[in-house]
Amino acid sequence: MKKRQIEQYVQHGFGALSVPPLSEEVLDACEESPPSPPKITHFRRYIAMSVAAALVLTVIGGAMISHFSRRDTPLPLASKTETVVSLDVNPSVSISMDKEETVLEVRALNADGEAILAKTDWKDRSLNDTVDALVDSMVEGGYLSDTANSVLITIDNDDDTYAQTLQQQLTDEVIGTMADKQVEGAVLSQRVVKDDELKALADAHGISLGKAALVRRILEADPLQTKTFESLATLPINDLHLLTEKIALPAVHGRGHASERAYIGRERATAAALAHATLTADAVTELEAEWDCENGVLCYEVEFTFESTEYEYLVHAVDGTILKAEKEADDRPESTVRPTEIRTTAPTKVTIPTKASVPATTIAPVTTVTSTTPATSTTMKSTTLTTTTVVATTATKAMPITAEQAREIALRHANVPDLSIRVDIRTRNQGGHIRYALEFQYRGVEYEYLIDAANGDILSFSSERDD
Amino acid sequence: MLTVYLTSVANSTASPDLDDLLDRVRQGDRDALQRLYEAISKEVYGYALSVVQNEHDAQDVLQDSFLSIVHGTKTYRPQGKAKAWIYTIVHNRCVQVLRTRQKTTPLSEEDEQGWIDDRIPCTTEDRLALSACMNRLSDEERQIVVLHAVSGFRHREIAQILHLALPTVLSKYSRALKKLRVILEKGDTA
Repeated sequence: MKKRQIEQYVQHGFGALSVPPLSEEVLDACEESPPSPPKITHFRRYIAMSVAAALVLTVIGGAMISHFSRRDTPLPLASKTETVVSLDVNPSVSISMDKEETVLEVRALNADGEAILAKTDWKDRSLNDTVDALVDSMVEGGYLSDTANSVLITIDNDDDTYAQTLQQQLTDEVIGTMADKQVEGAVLSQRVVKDDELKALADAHGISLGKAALVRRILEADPLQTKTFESLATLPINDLHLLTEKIALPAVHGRGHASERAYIGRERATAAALAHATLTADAVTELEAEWDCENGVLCYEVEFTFESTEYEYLVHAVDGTILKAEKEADDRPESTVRPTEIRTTAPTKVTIPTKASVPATTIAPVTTVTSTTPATSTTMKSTTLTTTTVVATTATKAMPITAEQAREIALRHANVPDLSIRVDIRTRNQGGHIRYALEFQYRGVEYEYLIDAANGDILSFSSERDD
Repeated sequence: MLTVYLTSVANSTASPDLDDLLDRVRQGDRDALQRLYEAISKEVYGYALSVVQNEHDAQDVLQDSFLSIVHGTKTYRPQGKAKAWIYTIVHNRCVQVLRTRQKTTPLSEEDEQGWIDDRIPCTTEDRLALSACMNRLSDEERQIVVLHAVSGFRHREIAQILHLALPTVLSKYSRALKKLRVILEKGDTA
């Protein structure tokens, strides 16, 4: 059975699903202008959670309303409430206080916040003790650890001076509590002034006002608008903290360093980019690696220059995948391409590492070979680093096959006369041997080739009619 | 008939300019919202169902997502990536549902029977493919298959929506199709 046929069955099966009509509530929300905070419907869950909340109220007789389905609504500033402090990690909670800093209420702002509140006794505690208890629960619950150690503190109070004092006081408290748990903490703190736009942003993305404010501030400090709100809104606070390292955010105070232990590190990211470009650190200049975010994925932005050509890479922070690659040569128009579409626009000088595998933190000695490949268009896919070492190209032959040459070999073998058709090419490292995996379609037939980069041999190929 | 139907599905999801519809929704145009819903609700619902695996939760996700979309249009900047933006919202809603749910209720054949709209022609193979996706694939495999085969996303786009590495998406998709091929050729999901 052909792949396309299976996909059609799936498509048709899901296409037959019965879908309910759009609710009047949503249609009515469309006409509201200017936008008001959304009334989250949650239909069945709303009812279930309401019942659950009523039971909780009955049992404990308290005023706590851990009503998750209403987390997106503005904080309920009761008449006595003077200040609202929110803590964001992944769990998000808010603490309402009166003028005497008596804790009136602690609310969960998301599901993980619910889990933390369930384990935290905050009643009759001071603000500092409440923060201690919450942070303690977050460490115990694994939300704060050596690999994710950042907390965002947001103060909602009209008095800027008081808010700043509180930011410092609570930062000390959080850092101290985490130190007691043998975790080196990091804190971002800010004062937030609510506005309609901020509320709409928080509502639309299901995040706290504090996180929405932080994301908006990061975007405001990004004049080139290289990021979007939705891509940053999904990141945990630790990742946002890493992104703020090189950004001046006057309204946000930072203490400590966000943990990088969950990620591959700048050196491996740099090595991955250099390996993709078949260059070495010795051969390039202006080498830099900084944190960045691409479509909700934390990554390293690696930049370097080689012979008047500037290279820019985005490398996945967790697995080393090349997410994006650009290069711009002097006196040539800029080419911005995805890793699936890297185009070689000029004869390229290729440096070939002589070792099959080198540690990620070291660069192998190189020999330099100048390719005389004519200017052509080459399409390549991303390279993934899944181990702790960066595997470099094996130079067992005098001249390895380039991706463009592999492309021509495959197209000629398939008797495709049009050499300009789109071909997806991925490089694979199989036991130290570099191979090109090529896929293309021509006249309703899907072709797949595996070509040895050392000598151009076709190691395997298949063709399947796409009917 | 199959070809005709698939063509109509493809056209219904691809034709409208989503950025234009979102802009009109931002201005309070109910008709535009209705058109947007008609254009993508089926595939969005299919994706939500593939994630939360519960008809009622999927309906909640669908309605909640559209409410978020309505409010999100106030800050949405058209970049030609409207569909990816919409799916990010839907995905986040699904994740929230899964977080709040204590346990997953196992699916039954009766559940699946109720999902099908009887007015839409659906072959035995179509039902088998739907059932196999829901019951025999891993969570990630199922989501990747639906995003590619039903929603029409490229694997690179799926990697971004699901926050997975591209090679992971490719390998899981390949593995999922092999499973589906075996099931469809045998003709049962047992």
